[in-house]
Amino acid sequence: MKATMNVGRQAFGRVGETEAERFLRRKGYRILDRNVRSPSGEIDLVAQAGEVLVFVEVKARRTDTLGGAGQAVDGRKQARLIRLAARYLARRRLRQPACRFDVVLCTGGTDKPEAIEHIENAFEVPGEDLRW
Amino acid sequence: MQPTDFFETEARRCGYRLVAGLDEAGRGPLAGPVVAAAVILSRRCLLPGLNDSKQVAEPDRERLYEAIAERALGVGIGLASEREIDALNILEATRLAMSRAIQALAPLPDFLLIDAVSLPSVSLPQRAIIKGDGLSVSIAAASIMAKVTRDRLMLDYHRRYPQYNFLAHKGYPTAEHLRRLAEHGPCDIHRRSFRPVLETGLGGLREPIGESVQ
Repeated sequence: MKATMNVGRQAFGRVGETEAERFLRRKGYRILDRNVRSPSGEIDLVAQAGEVLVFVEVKARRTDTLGGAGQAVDGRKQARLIRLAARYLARRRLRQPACRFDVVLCTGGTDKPEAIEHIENAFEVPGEDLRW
Repeated sequence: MQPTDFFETEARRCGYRLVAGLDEAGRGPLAGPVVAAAVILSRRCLLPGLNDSKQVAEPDRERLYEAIAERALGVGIGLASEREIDALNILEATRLAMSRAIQALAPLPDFLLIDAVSLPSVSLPQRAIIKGDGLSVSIAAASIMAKVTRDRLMLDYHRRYPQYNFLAHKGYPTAEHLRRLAEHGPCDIHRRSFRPVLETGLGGLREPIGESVQ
């Protein structure tokens, strides 16, 4: 996600998001929102899985260099996602719903990811952090 | 003394959830708009060094601006132009800018903490706090957002009207500004209804205000 990112990589990221969405739909998730933008960042997907509201970060990488997609959600990124989620909940007046943060990894391939991995509950969030 | 979340906590105790702080920058200057900001902080938002914008040095204000933009639940900015200030008066224009800041704010707040003024036209429960920018964290955050936004605007105006050196005084009536105003006369962003501008005797040249005042 640095300034060196080229168009090819961005396009690959977008394809990754579409593939991740399709993957989650097949699993029975209902997609509520995509690319929820705010000045401090973006939530890739918000989905509903049964009673649980799921915030999804999609990571698309062609190769496994630099740890690949699995290493891409560090503590800083987690803190940002939590703040974005709190904002999302406040805007919709959702009080303390059951929430979870998932990561979907799309790896390999040149035009289209070859493998999709879904990490449910990728990191734990104290409920207090999502209260508003 | 540093601002605290005393007033925010008290509002929450009364059942309000989304408490917005409101403040303004630019009531005193002879030029440029008055800028208001509304900020909703999350309940455990720590912003080290946060204080009334007048107590914070410029580099720290910039740093705090970025931190607030990233970490607040919501920020809304509203302006009232120099023409609106001339057509209304500075207090009413301040209220107009504040109500615009609330309109720009998402999520919508359910309670307002306002620095010094009341907003009779806004139908939300509210509390005016004298010197609120030094007492409440939300109002202090709003004062930073308003001040930095206005300073950035005045930097743009400085580039457009370099003869007044707005960069240095941001439109406030400093000795330098008064001297340059006397020398060059008012420009398009000077507030014609403010005495030092009026007294240059060149105040009546502008087109009358057409739209944008309700």
